Amino acid sequence: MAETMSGAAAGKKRLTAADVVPGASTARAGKLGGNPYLPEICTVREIIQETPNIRTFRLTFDDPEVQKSFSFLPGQVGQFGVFGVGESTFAITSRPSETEYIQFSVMKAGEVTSAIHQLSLGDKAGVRAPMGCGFPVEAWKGKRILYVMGGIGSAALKATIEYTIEHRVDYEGISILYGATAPENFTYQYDIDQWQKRDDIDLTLTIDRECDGWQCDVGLVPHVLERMNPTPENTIAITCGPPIMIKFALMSFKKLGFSDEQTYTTLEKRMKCGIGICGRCNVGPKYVCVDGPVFSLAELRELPDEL
Amino acid sequence: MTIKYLAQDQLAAFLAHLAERARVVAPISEDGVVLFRNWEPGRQVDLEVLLAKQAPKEFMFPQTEEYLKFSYRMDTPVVDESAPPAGASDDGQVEAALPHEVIEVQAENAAPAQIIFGLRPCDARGFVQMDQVFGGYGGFYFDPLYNAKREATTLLAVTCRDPRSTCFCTAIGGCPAGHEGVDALFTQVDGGFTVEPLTEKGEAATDFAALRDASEGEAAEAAEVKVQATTRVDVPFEIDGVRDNLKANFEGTSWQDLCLRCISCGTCTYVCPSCYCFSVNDSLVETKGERYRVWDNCFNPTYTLETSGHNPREKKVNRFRNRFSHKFWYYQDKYDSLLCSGCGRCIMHCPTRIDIREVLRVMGAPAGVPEAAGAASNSAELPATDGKEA
Amino acid sequence: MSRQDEIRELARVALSTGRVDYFIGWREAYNPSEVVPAFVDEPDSVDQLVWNDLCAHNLTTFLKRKMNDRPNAKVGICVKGCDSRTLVALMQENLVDRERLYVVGVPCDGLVDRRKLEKEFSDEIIDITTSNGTVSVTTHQGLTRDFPKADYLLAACGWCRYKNAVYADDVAGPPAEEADRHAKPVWTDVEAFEALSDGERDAMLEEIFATCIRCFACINVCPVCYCWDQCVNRSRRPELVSQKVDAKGNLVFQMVHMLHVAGRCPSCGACDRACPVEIPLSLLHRKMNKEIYDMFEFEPGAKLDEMPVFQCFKIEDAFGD
Repeated sequence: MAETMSGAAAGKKRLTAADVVPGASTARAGKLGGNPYLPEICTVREIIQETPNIRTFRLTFDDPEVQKSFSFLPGQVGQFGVFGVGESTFAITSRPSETEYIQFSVMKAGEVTSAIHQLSLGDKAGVRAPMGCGFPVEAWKGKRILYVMGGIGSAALKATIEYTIEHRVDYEGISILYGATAPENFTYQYDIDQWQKRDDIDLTLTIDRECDGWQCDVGLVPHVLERMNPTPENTIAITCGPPIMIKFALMSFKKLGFSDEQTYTTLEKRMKCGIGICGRCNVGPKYVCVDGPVFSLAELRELPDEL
Repeated sequence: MTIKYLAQDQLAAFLAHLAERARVVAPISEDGVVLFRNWEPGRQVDLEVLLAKQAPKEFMFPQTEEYLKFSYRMDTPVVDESAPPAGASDDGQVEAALPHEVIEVQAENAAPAQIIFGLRPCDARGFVQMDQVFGGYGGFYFDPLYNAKREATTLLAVTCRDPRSTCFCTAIGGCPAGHEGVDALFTQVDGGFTVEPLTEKGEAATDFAALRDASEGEAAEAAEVKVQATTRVDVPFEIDGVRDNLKANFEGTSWQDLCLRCISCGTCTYVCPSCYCFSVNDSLVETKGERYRVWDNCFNPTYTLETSGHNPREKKVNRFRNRFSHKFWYYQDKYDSLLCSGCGRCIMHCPTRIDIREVLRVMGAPAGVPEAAGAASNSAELPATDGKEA
Repeated sequence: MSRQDEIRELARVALSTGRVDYFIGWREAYNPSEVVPAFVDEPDSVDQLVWNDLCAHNLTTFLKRKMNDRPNAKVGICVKGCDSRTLVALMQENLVDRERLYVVGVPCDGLVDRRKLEKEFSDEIIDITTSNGTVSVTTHQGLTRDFPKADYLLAACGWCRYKNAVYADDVAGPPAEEADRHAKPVWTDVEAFEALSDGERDAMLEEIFATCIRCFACINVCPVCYCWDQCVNRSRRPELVSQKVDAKGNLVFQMVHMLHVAGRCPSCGACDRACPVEIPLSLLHRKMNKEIYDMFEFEPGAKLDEMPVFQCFKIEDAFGD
């Protein structure tokens, strides 16, 4: 009679209800110490209209202890939602060094994002964060980082950009290529202004078509990228944006000689639990919510073709 | 732990004894339909039919489970007229204290003691398999909802004396008298059951006066029942290599042929002892609401539908491929465990009898199909506004 | 030639002449007591096709969009009388391309209710054969018992007036003798349901829908349910049917399904047979069809040149009382 006690149980400790603080979120009690389904209650403190359909929300945790102890890795995400409507996954777009608030940038598109866009100052929201894996910024020390982004893709890379800028001396170079359909569709204009003033960041902004008063580049991101002709030598390439832009950007990276190990992107999927349990956000054996959303191209090649 | 014996005519008394301390659930027939239902004195447990229509997973993992309750209200701060106004500007004007939103959120997790009697070893094994994803092993998240119920539940399984032709537990490491997940194993013999407590919970549940030590003859009969049952379970495919072949055959065209008669419902998933995928929704009526999880299934056409309209598994064949790949490859890679215990319910209840054994025989065998190209290289398949083939 | 041989021959010819790219019929599954839909694309493989008293599946569901998506394929299909009415319903709405269809009508004298037979045994049934009005059932452990077929017919077959297909390109064998289609339909099961008091009816519905698991088998197997991801029962924006699975919500779910197929559903019974927990869905659909018949004297899918009753109106239409 075959009996196989197989599984993750083999040799690994299994938690019991006694290990978990009842009624505490994971932000309060740690990833394995709390209830991962329980959001922290947050208050909307600031709303910035980035573009006609993108708003940035700055929230504070109502629990001051959580606000004080909260930290995240660049590239990590959170489940931000409205009680009564639902939650969605968003990249945390505040600086990792920011202690006063947590920030998400939200494009109005569906059920949850529309409800989020109806939030006013002082309203309550739920946050479950941080989740997912971030970008391996430690391993990238000493390298040049090339960020290539379009539209709302900037949100996925914002925290990482800020982190690498804050730790500028640790990186050989920072280049940012940011494309939008039109001048009013750039997010984080206020931060872009600061980046433009620095001489230790290589910043290229581009819009799709000529426009009166536009001083920077014109052209689709992949074309501009190839014009820039960045060297793959000691460089990490990261891209995020609309699917069609990612597709062509990845092709351009390949053309420019970037290897799969040097190229990174973020995936998105329909998500519900955000903690790798409900089963739906998988690409093959990997869950985008916990094994991602950051993936290198080398990792993606191992996965079944079902993006 | 010694083997005990319970006479058939003592079964009702035994269950009544259990019912004093916990909710007792057992396979019970109503209008010819056997489901796990609440047992009360007077109800007949049906152990003649091998499998209840549904696995008992709903007792650890309810189909609908409200896990957050919340209510909104508005708070209008009271202004104390006598005190100096806070926030008064230089010219003495008082800032109005604005009403603001307050929300109360409460986590819910009811887990009363329960005992499931009459499940089969494959049902119990399904729980062990689900433990991997819910259980917080080795750094994965811990699901307090499932685990509270899991810890509060005792599983008293009954050996499958007469396996069905659709059973295949032994092909994947199980057994009609298997112990995985079982707190106490009952085996039907002449006049009653032998009873083997296997865990502390099993010992506690079988601490009942009418359970005496089994005689040598009774123990031998039980052993024989188990051996006979095990030899009669079909081994329809070789499990070794299935994982690697599913990966190699990901782009194989046979998936299309295998899924032709599938109607893409959720029956197989919902009757399965180990399928666990769920969705989360909120409900709000005026100021009060809940967040709840509810069973979902990967055949649901909206399962992976993104807000942008893109759906990676728009086509039925891709959803079909996902279920088998999840159970025999993805879950294996992530948790080192299969997600199937060979009960055969999916075959019995599928409206068109899609046969998991056939699928694994075909797609789990080497087929000479070239290794599937990786995701990123197949740039032609990156999301676009296609997929609407109708 | 038996009807089974007729079907095989018609399929063989259709495949070998290229009249169809594939042919949908019935075949045995993992044992002779289980019959499932068959998809045959080679003339040499037609011998897998069977015709017997277990061929209950309504195959026309495989013609609807997003089921098997081969938009330009030419398809051959077997239909019984009841199945042909859902085919006609699809044709009335221009949802199938008649040019690419080859329809083989299969006259039918009634099929055996496998579930009713299952309740006679606790063991698994592995073989069912019928001959001369007797059904012989064999179980996994070797027990064989005989039953009179007349007592174990599918309920739908008991009052069937459409034993021959209402639409077919070819017919597999001689027609079956059928009751007069112009006679009033039989509604005894529905009348029994109507005779219940409100309280009794509520209790009955509560009880049966408490076991529903929202698997969507009834919806997906239905040939005239084709909304898939746009189904009202799945709608998120707005949420129209609660996604909580409880008796009340499940009843609303089923009523949505019923009302949306009203006028196109001939009570073929596919939903009933697909339901894993054996909810008597056919009874409710027949109740709906009785109402439609009483109001409009309309029988869904009976005549190709008719419009479905809720897609059109006449000035004289009854307005209810």
